[in-house]
Amino acid sequence: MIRTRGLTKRFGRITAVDGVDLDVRAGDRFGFLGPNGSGKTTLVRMLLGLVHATAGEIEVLGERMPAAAARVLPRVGAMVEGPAAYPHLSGRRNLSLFDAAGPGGGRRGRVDRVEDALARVGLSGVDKRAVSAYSLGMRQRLGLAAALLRGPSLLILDEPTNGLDPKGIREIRDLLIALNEGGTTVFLSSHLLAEVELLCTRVGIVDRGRMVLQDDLDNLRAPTGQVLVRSPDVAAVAALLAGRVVARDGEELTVRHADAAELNAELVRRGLRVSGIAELRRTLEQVVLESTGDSGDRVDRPPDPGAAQRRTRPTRGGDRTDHPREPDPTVAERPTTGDHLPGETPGEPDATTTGRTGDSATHRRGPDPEAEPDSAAGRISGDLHPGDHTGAPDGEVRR
Amino acid sequence: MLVAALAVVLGTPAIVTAVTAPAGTVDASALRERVARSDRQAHQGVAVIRGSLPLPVLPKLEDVSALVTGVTTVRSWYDSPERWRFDVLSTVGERDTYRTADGEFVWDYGADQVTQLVGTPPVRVPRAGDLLPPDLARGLLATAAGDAVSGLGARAVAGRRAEGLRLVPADPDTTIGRVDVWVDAASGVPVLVEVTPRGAERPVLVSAFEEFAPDRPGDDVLTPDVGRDSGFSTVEAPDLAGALGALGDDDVPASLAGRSLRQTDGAGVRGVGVYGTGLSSFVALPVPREVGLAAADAGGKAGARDETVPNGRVVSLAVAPLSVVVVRAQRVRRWYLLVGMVDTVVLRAAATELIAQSGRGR
Amino acid sequence: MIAVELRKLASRPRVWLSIGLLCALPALVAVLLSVSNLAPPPGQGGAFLSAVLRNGALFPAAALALVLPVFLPLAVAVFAGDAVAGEAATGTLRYLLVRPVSRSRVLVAKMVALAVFIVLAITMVVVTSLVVGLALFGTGAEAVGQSGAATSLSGVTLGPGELALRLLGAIGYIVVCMLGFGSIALFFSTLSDSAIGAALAALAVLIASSVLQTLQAADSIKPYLPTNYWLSWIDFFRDPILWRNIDSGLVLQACYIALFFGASWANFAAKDITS
Repeated sequence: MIRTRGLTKRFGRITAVDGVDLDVRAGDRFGFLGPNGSGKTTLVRMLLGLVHATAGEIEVLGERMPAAAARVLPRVGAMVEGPAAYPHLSGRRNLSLFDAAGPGGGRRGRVDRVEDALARVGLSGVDKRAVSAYSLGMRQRLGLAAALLRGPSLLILDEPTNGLDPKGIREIRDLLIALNEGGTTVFLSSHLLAEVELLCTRVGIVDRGRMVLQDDLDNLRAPTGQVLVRSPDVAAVAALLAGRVVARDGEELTVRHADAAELNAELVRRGLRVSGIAELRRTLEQVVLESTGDSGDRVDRPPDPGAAQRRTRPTRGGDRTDHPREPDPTVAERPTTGDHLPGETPGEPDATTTGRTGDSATHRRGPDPEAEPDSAAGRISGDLHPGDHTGAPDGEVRR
Repeated sequence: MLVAALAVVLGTPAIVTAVTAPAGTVDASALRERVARSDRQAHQGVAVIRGSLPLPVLPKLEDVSALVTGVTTVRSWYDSPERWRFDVLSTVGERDTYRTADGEFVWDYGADQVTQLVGTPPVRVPRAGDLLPPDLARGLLATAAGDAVSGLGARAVAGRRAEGLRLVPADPDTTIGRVDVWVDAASGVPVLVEVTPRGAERPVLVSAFEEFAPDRPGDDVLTPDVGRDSGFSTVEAPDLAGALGALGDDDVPASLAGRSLRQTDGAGVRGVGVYGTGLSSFVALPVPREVGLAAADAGGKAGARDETVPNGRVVSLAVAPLSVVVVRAQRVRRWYLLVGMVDTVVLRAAATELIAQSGRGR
Repeated sequence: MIAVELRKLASRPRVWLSIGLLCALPALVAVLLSVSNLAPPPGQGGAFLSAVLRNGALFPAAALALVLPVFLPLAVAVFAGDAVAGEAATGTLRYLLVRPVSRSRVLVAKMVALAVFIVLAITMVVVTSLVVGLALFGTGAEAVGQSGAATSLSGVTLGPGELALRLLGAIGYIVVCMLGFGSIALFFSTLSDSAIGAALAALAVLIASSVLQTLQAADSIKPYLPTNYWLSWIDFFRDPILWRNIDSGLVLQACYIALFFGASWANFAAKDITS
């Protein structure tokens, strides 16, 4: 569906996208992950013909872009860097204008197309008020409606759940999964790991303009060969498994073991109580952290230019004011924005209670899914203690 | 692409003017003859008169000052010396002068008024029509009848081929360095006149047709069917003395600065004296005290030379090629204005004589 | 796309506000003139202003003279400056382009909308000022002896039909002049993502051109200044009509339209849309 080869974009001396080979297959729910400023948006814009590539090839829906834009884009629904609408018009009028602007936007059936798109995103009851009075979540839904207007076979979405409350996020996720099951390929770019982890079947990870990883989510999250055991008889368990214990924390033990079920059976056989046991899989967060560098929006002071530094970088120019790749160890305070870090998706409610959320009318905005807890904890590399991911869709136990 | 389009824009007027290429030599004397006879050639067009004399605004002569200090656009329709019309255009209206068998009519849009002029003044206040290329060229060439002319070749004026001649006055007293006249080759009508002061590089007065056709204008444009519902009045044509409120009962000396008083048209000169012949002639006229004072002030601001001489004061201003001298004769408490295209030396000499003679006269 | 642009134009409160203000200025002047009965002295004030007191049929021409130098170009600069930059700023430009609408179509639609705006604005000014003029100053029946007639600049009386034709000619000429200026603003609009910036840049061109026009030293470049022939619409009210400057003005404006529309296209077609 989307294939790029050596895709490169330079803005002056800055290389925003550097030799990216993207491969999104039909039927994928592809998650495109990367820190801020890693070139995600630039790449999405190139896919849509908004930005011209410096080098490389792009194929979307089997045709070359941007040359075949007129044939390709009518079958693509897109949301790029947040929704946009004419603020003084109502949502309905906005959709009707966008519908009329391009090919296939005849007057016939326009009302149906608009109403259908609004219904899909949960805005069917929206009144005539201007978009300028919409909440962030409503705008986001409207942007999605615009992307769905043409019944696209490929959806390219940039941060589609931005500004939505947890219920809204869940709704949109369900909608995307339903669309995907109906045959629509979904390409989703996001910095929210949890979001991608919950929705996508394949991920691509981009860092500083380069594609560092591209694989099926299941492969990335392969078992680590370790098992987490929680037991009131932790001392006995540790004694039994001596030599295989990797870490111990209260009642919890991390042990090397290939098969959690077998381990459980063994412990029970020996009369040891097990209050919890789970196979340890790598989280997407760990995968991302291992494959990317610093947060894209960090601007650190250059390290103290000591003698050692001068030896190692004799040619360093005096005009250089930052060294994003070399975080100053003396800067104790980590930025807490940590946009590309997962943290927790705010407590997601039980699936059965998830209903239509208030976005369409009353809500200003829901709890910000981006408001993440202290990211420092998540940054400790190699910490196999799994993050506290709650709300897996089907109550699936991941540990 | 941008550059190419810019070139097209900039090139358009140049292409228009380059239509005719100059070629061949011109017999200057024959050309001068053609100019002299050209008052019988009907024509019409749009002329622009560009004056760049740094002349101070002379009291009561603002319209004249504007003519020689700025840009005036004039539409002209000419049938014969007895039948013509010229419109002086502004961005908010126009002032049209018609000459017909019944006299002259002036339509002033701003005043919403038609004025019929009667009588022919001896020294008329200069107006835009006098500076149209044909009138200016004929006037200057006739005034300098004794001076020789030389040929200038040909050039394009208003998109038509024009042949040039140059007049360099021999008279050492005149301030005019040269007069270049280009004559429409097909019709013999002067279409461009450039007046350059002595010692100057660039002309200070350029009168040129920017659109010209040697066609007889229609009766509809020459008939003053104007202002049917506007004001109408009849006035005597303003002469220079009238415009300045000059005192008409005064006798002027028979000669000044070695130049004799030239009687014009045999009519009563009414106190205005025109002295000398050719391009070095000048005008002397007595003016009321307030006009004299104001003229001396204006001249002072423009950097005039202010001298006190026995029994009088002489303020002289040279705005090449024009010289203006304001004279105060103390004993008779009279003010005079001397104007001409002559060296200020001549006018100052005339001023000294005026002061001395007026003293003797009483 | 053109229909969409026109629907957007019609639905924008700002468009109608600016047209309303354009109509309000001449109306205010008319009311002040009729209350005070004080016409500006001949040769001063706007063109036709001294004549309208006697004849309301001339007021549309006076109204055009009032709005042309500053207010009409201001409205045009704001509208044209917003054309592309405004869409870029709200982000709707990228959605139009991925809809997809080709960039050329976007630009052509913007140009058409600009032309419609100009025609609409001038028509509204003329219509409102005609109503106001006739109501406050009469139909000219007393002044010229014929209702709806007026005296031309050259003193010849123009009948109602003739006057209407000449007014139409003047309107058409002003529309072309504004389109030439608007295409400059449109060009700036494709350069910038700030609608205000583009409008201000166009106004800077307007002011620079107006300043140079008053300078005799700039004589040699005057024929190329965008504002040089703007006031020549008044030549429609001379008798006979003075076509010379009108023709030059039309040629010059056509060049400006071609130049700046071409430059807008060249710039916009190759531009990276990063807004």
